[in-house]
Amino acid sequence: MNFKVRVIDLAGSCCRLGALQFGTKVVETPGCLIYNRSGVVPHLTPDILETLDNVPPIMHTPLASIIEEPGLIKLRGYGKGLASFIGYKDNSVYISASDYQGEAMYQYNENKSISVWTKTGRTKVTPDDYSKFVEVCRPSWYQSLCDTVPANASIKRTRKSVDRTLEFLDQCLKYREKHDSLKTSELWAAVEGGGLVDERQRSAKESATRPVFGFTLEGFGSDQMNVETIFELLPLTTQNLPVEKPRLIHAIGSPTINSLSRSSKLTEVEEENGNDSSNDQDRTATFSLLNLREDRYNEDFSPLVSGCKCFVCSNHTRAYIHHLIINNEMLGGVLLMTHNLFQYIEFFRCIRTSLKNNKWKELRKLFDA
Amino acid sequence: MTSPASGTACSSAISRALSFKLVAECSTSKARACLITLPKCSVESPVFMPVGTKGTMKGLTSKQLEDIGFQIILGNTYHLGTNPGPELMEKANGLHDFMNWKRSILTDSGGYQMVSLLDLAEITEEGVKFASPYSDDMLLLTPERSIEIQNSIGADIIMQLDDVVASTTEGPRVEEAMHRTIRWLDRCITAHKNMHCQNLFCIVQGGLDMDLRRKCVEEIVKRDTPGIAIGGLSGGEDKQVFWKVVDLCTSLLPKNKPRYLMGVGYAVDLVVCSALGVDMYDCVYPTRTARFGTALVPWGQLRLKQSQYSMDFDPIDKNCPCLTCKTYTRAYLNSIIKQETVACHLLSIHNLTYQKQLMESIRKNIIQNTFPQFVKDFMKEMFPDGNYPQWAVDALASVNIQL
Repeated sequence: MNFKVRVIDLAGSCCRLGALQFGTKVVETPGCLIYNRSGVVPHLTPDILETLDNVPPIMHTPLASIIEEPGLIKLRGYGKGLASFIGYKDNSVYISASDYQGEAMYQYNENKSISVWTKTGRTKVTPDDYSKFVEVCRPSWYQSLCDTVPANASIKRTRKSVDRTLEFLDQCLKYREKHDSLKTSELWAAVEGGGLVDERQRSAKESATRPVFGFTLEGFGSDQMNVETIFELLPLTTQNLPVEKPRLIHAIGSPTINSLSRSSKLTEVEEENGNDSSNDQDRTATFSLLNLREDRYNEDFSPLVSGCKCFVCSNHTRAYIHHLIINNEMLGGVLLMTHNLFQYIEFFRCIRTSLKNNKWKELRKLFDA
Repeated sequence: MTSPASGTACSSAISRALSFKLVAECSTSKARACLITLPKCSVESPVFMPVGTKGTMKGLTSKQLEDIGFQIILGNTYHLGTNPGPELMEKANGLHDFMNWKRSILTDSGGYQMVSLLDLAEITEEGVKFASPYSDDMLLLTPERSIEIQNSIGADIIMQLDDVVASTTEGPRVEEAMHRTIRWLDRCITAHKNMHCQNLFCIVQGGLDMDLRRKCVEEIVKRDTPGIAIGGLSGGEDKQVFWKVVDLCTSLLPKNKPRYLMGVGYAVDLVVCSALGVDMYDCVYPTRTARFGTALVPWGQLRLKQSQYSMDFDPIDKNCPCLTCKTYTRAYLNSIIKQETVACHLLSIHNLTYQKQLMESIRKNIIQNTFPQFVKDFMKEMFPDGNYPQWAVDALASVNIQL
């Protein structure tokens, strides 16, 4: 597995174009990973997922969604790894330690373990527990165990978060060193630091000294930090990370073109998820949202987005989707999720194309309009 | 269902809206394979029609239904007439375009839902009077109104409004309902505007009374509708009586018209009733049971929520060609079944594939004249201990298939 990156200087914004290669498969960056729960992209059966072109060949699975079901025993019994178990046979998975879908319950984390929250409650996970679980999952990538805090955590608690996360990282590395079966799973170091510049920089610098494949930027989720703070802290964090390694940010809510250009170093992999918006019955359309619950779509026989090439816009109308949504028909979620994912994937493809062709400013203008 | 609708225009006017071809007859039993050509699609029978209540098959796209191979699906007039309503159906150019389903559709009359879903339904000669579930209004579904709504939905086959009584009802009410059903049929025929592109089927009623059934068939056959349904069954009646009513009706009905047995969908019932000469079926069972976590297999059912499947790394059925069986293990389905709607979709895909495959096997064996052996093999696999339900043994024996 390797990563090639090219830094493009665009009027003071150092954007990065990269490619993460595994075997014959490539994740181009900047790009997005698709999130799943328990191996399921919410609402979507695999044949529907296949209607989307350019789905990244690696799927993001948060630990909290698999620790209980299927869980260690079932996965060990199965013996062929998580990707195969969830029917993602040709492709691969990335396992993250935290699931930002839920409320941050960081106050329950301890020096030796973090708390993972599932339907039935709280499970304490040590770096060794976690590493053992990852071992049976056989992912291509996994994130180090981390104690993530929001931007408003106290200075003392934020420091503790950085210390613990570094300690967890070292233990994950130690376990990986001793277990050959993890050699094909690349480890990403979680970079913490809450809302504090000093702690962000300390976490980045310290993590950069470890033999890791890449870095995940934690605590930048929309429920953890406001946009202004993200713009301030992101460049100050990334400037302490080695240029040649990939960076992944979790739980950035909506496509924020501004954040991409205002940060001096662009992140390689953005974590997006269409789930939230499809649950809210919204969708992105040239980066605005339509609430399909509204009566005005009742007789609207146009597609969600005219000209959109996705399966949904090629086959179904706003009126039909409106009918499904107001009647709580499960197909409504299926169609919105499909369209939203198509839009996200297309969004990142546009960004990459504009970077390659030096059309970044033109693209920005389009979104600002 | 408050304002009138003038009827969805038909795109292609053909001289007859249905052509019927008897492809093969079993030389032992009454089973038959037919080709029913409808305005949108040719339908090979015996056929099972899955039920897409509100213009959607519970989470599956029209494309997925097409991929499974269905040629005809069912929509419910009561639900579609209430929401989105006939005006929108017309503006959308009918249900086919609204849900982007290019093949055939059958709609029921809406009467059954009123009687089964609504406590306050009252049946008079005029129609079915019921309390709107959405307001305090009392609404009236007349035969004319039912046809008007079905004209706006634009299905290939539409059903007459019938006077439905529970199949366990006895006494004069059954006879009254039978006669009223015939009177309502005449009103439906008069009200039907799209004879050239929508086929109105009549319904045989008469409860479990053989004489009433006989009289009803005699009367409605005179009306010469393109197809005939057997109604008023599958409501919890004794199976021994059920099969005798089906058998009587198929013996009395003309050979050159499709016969549709309403509300039947269990595998054993489909096989036995096909042996008795039924062509068409519908039932919510495969998709409803999927939502409760049950998978249909040739040897019965798997309740995948049960812990016995948590470490079972086989597919639901290793011989099943569906997406679910090709992709997932029972253990995986067991792990997502309580939390992810995708599990419902995956089980619906499997169960509908099972139904489709079963009907294809029935048809193939009728055409090859191997149907009796197929029935024996099917029953043996479903009841490996040979403990066959007596009604099925008797029904099959009546058409010369000895288990």
